[in-house]
Amino acid sequence: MSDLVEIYGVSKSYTSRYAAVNNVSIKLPAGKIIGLLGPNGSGKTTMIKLMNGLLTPDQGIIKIGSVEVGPQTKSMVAYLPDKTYLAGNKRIRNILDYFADFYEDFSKEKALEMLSKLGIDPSARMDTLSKGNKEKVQLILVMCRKAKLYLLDEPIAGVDPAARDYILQTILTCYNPEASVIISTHLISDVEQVLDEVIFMKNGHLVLYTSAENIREQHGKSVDAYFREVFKC
Amino acid sequence: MLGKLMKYEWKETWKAGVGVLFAMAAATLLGWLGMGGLLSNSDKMENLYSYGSETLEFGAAMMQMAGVFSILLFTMVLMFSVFFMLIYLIVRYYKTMFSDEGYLTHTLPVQKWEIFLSKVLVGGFWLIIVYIGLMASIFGFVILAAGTELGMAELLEGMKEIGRAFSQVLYGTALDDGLLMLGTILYMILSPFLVLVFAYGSFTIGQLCHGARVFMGFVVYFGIGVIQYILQIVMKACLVAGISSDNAFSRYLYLNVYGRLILSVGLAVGIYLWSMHVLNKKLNLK
Repeated sequence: MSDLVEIYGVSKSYTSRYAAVNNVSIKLPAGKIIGLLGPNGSGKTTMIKLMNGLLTPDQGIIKIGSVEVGPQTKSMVAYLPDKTYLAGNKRIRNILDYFADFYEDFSKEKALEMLSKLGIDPSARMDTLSKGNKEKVQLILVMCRKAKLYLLDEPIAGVDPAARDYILQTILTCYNPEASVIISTHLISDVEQVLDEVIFMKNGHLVLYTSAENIREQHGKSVDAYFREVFKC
Repeated sequence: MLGKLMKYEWKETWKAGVGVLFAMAAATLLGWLGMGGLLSNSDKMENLYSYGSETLEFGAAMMQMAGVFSILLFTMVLMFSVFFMLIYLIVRYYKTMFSDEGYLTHTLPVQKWEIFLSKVLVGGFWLIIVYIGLMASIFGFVILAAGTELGMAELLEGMKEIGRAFSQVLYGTALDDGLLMLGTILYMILSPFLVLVFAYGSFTIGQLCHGARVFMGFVVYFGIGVIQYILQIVMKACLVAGISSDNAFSRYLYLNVYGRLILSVGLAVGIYLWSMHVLNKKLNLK
């Protein structure tokens, strides 16, 4: 299977004394759901932002589909940030039009259908929605694209368990099987069931990259239990 | 993609633009009513005072105050309209580029120059519209207010006279010089766009200072202003030293207009290129 994501010697520092990501090199295949796991401050969000061009690496190269990160890769990547990035005064319908205009792979019909199933009115303004519904709308926008790479930064943080189930179910049912999904989270027990592979990060370093099955077979533990062992304080 | 970006930029800014135009129109009408009331009722006011009644005097004073207040409001609204529009555009630029909304802007499959240019073009267009609205308001106010006192024919003749005197003082015979007029008009049209390139560019370059991005944006903007001022002083000094012909003033104006145009455009190109470097190579969204 060809590599979808290629990362060569990437480092990123916000201050001169501390590297958020430190000399990370990794190749990720297509068609997998990959957990980017690590405690707070381990560099997960920085890594995801580097992959979609919101941050520029201090050194190293990142390629998506053999193309260096830029406008071309942005048409291949669907990104869900860890915060609400849609303007509060915008109506959902207008946001759908916006996505349909800019992303050729976005299905407005599918998005409307999903919103209808959730009972979310497309004419509602973003600032009138609850936190959970805002998350769901953002997730629908991302998962209704037929992207090659989905980057989901903390998609289940701060929402109730029912919403978590919905989010994970949506990821599983909606994503393009030829694509890869990278889910960054520290709530491992909730996502473990859907992960094919896992990446452990600690203090900006890549600690481990293996399959979830491998952890269970070799260590006789769940990914969550193994994570707790590796990152024990 | 530039067209699509401009379409959405237009959709997001038209309400503010139209709001400013409405405010200007309302203020002009109010100012005109106030001025008209003061001019046409001055005799009646004097009559009211002559009765010696305190109530009538108070009423007359209140009417005069209302007139003065409406003219004051007209002046204030006009003064702040362009300023408000400019501030609105700059804040919107910052919000959509460097706040949480930037997560959407910078993950669109478009080039950075397309995002920047779409904002400059649409914003510049709105500034031109507001400038025209400002001119129309002042013109309308003068026509309406002075027309009540002078009569329209007299007023128009007066304005023509002022125009002739203005062109003679400023240009000599140069009004016939198409190139000078062209340069002046070109400068007037380009100015709103250049102002936005300087402002947007400053806050983009300010992103290089991680600890104080907004503050650094102001510093860069101020720095650009100072550089522009110094360059203009140097240019003017060179022009004055180099001109010795009979029509020195006309020639000075001619060179000054084109010199300022070239300087401003050159500086804007520099700021634009630096901004593109920051957006393409140094972008670090919080």
